[in-house]
Amino acid sequence: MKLQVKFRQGASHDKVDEVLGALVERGADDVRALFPGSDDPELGALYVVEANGTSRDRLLRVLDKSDVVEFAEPEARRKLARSA
Amino acid sequence: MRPVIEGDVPSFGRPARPREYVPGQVVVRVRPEAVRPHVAAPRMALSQSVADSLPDSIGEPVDYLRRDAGLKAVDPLFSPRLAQLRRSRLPPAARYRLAVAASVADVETDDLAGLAVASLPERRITGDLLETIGSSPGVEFAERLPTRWLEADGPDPKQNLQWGLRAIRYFDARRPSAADVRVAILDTGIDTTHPDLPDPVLYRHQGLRAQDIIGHGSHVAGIIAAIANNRIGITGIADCRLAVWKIFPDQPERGDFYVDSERYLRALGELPDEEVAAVNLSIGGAAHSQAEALLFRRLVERGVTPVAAMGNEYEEGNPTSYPAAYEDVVSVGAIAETRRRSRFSSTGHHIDLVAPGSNILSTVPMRRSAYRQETEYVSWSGTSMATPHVTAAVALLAAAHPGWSSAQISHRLRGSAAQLSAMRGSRWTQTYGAGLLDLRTALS
Repeated sequence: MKLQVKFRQGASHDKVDEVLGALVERGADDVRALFPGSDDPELGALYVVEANGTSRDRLLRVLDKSDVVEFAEPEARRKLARSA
Repeated sequence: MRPVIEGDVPSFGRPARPREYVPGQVVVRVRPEAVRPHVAAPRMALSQSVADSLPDSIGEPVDYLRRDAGLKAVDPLFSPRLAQLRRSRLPPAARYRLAVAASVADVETDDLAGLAVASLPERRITGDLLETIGSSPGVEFAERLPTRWLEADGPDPKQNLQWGLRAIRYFDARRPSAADVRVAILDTGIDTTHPDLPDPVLYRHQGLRAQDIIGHGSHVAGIIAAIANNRIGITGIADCRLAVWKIFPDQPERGDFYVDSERYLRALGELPDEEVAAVNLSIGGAAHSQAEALLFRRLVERGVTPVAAMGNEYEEGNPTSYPAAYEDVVSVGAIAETRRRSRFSSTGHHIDLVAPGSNILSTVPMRRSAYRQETEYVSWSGTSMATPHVTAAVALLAAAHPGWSSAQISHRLRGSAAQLSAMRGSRWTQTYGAGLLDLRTALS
């Protein structure tokens, strides 16, 4: 299970690290930038949270409480649009 | 690139009385070494000053043909900028000189550089004329165009099975060359060994196997850009360049293939840097995503036209499908050969137009896989198959109108769509959007 997170533009590194650390503390397996190394502020604010052994809602509650998180959502599944 | 000779009309069978030469056409080869010092290859400017800078050994024979032999056109044989040259508003004298220069500057290998076809009134083509042109120090040879050149290419044998081409009025449309246009396909990959598919200019399989195991991406690629008139298989709609991202792992989940969301979103983020004009998304799902919507907004702002499938779940509750339902995405439904909605094609308020999506013949990988028995060519159905018809149309519109925004292109697609009788006189319906993709009207 994965979550997609976007931090608000201008959020300090310390605040972002604080939120990411809290996610790991509450059972996230991995947190990583979606566009690692991007110097585009919008792309650089997007993260992926991987969590297979913990509740999605629990992690979303952490994210929803943070004032530096612009949005957090479960990954949206997309499949082929070929008819059977 | 296939040379355009005597129009672009496919010929069927041999003529009753074969001619030795193509009437009114002369093939000229200029010496590349006479041109190269005077132009900035590989992308020389198509300007009056470049035309003026050519040496007399090139300029004089061109001017002679124009002045004394009624020269009507000069087409560089292997330049990808034929359409641009034809559209140029420069005076004919400059245009003809530039066409000759482009036959060198736009071609990397000397073997193919310098070849151009000059169109003249048939009665003006004499031995003396050819000798005069050929004796210029900048010209290697000038000769009549043998008819066998026409036989070097020809209709694709399976073209008559492509009902979709007829439905979108492909054959009636004035199609520009889209050889300078890049189209992105985010899908299951592409079979780079297929003889009817162009080599992609970019193929990012992002740590996944390069092979297209499923075949879906190769099928989409063939609808858009299978090589036309190569006497092999099918005809693609646009001669554009393909940039391919493989976003599907090769393992199904409960019978369906799902995208790898990280690879998918990263590809969306990378597209603008790769200068693509359009992106084909024959995928969908019911959940809205803010991250995905953000990336689509960025695409449109940066001049990329996203084209997405409406989805195939009409009979499973007709859910709204994303990315088709995002604002500014061109959303494509499917019709069958009857010109009515394909039974599976989802409907909704966000639909833009429809395109052929039932029993669409296209390319699949040359080798079987665990998930696909068919090889080479197969007919598949889905809004997945309708979508690339529209994506190819975007490529052609981008070629015809290089400055147009994504909004202008999608506006033209909707505004030029053909009303279907099933729309019962309405200009727009939730089933057919603005109607059926109509290439002729869109490109007129």
